[in-house]
Amino acid sequence: MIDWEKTNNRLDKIDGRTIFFLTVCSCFITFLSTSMLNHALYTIWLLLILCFFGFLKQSLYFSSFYLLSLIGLIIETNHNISFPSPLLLSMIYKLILPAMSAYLLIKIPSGKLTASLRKIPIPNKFMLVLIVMLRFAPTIIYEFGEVKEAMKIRGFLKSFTNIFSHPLNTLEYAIVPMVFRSLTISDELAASAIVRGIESPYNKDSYYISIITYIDIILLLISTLLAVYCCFF
Amino acid sequence: MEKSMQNTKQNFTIRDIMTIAAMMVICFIIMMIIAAITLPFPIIYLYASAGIDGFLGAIFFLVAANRVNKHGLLFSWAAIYGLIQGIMGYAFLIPYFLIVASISELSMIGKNTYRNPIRSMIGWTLNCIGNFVGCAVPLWWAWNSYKDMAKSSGFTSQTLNMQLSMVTTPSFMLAGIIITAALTILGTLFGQRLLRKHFKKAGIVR
Repeated sequence: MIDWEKTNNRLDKIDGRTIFFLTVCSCFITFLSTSMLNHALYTIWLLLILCFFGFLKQSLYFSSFYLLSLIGLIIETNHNISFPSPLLLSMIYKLILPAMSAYLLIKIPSGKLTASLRKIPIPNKFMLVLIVMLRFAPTIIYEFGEVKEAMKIRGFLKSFTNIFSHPLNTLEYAIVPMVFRSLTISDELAASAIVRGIESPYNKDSYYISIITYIDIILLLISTLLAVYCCFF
Repeated sequence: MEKSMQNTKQNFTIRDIMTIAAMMVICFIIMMIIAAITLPFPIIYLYASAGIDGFLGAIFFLVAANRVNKHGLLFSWAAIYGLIQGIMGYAFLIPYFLIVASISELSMIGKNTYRNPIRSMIGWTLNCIGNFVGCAVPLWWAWNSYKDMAKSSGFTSQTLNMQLSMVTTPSFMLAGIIITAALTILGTLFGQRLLRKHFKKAGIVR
């Protein structure tokens, strides 16, 4: 068992379920809160959590994007400006909140996250797909970048006319390598998981201790109260 | 022994789960990009975004379907989509997506149907139509709170009216369903072409 008391990383001491709960709360606030002020309040709370876990630089990035899109949206709606689209700005500022909690979720070691989420009553296979999807997202975004670079070098992305005159070809050149690379990664992940005994029918234990500590309780309490306030008041 | 081996064959293996997860992630990232691109154009966003998602997603679905070829794939795909919608705040959509998932999966009854181009097309089209109709459920469910939320999000009254007329006028909904179905069918045809041209040759799918 890994004794997280001896490590300095605060995120390692937190239970995966707490961060999962934070993600669910931020998603609910994003879609249920009708007030910008309430949304901003919960965003500040998550920024504080990010800082608490040592992600200062990331919290700065998130807050500047949030502020820029929010100010842009306020200016556009007050002066009836339609470019860039207010809907797009609204989507950006609203999605930053779940993105922050998802970032924390991604930063938790996958073994620890699996151990924590195993305690939530979700069917094991659904849970596995969700965890793999969560882990896969940054890899896929990176792979998209690689494929784009390769296409640029080979001259497939020379101009908009080139792309729009052969849209299906461009799509094919982008998607085929993407699928090949993703399937290779997924096979490697599957092999690694099988070697670790994921398909074993017996009860599984983990190297990671998954218990709710006082930090979890404080985070859960404040997050729940704030979420209720932001959604319903 | 033989029976247990047959059961194992029917269940998803970890390789199948990884394949489904990988294809679903790409699909979701593409869906988010499509939503961001189409948002400034309300008509396209409302009537065609589900269809465009269906067009592009068909390729990834077909890869997963041909590779896994086990019942429950389309159900899992749609149910996870619903679960993600639920986590993202639309918890009341989970039962709706479970119904869509069940209907889509029922369309795949039979042997080797996931490798059958026509059956895969039917299943995927039903799923995408379900996704399109799913966009209207929050509006039917709670129009007033949706309107408040939308107005604070920068929706113009023109877009809101367009949305309301779409979900309350059967002919507009039918038009949206037809557009979605047409784009999805085209997507599966394109996907089948890619499967034959690249993935079957490479031995990735059968």
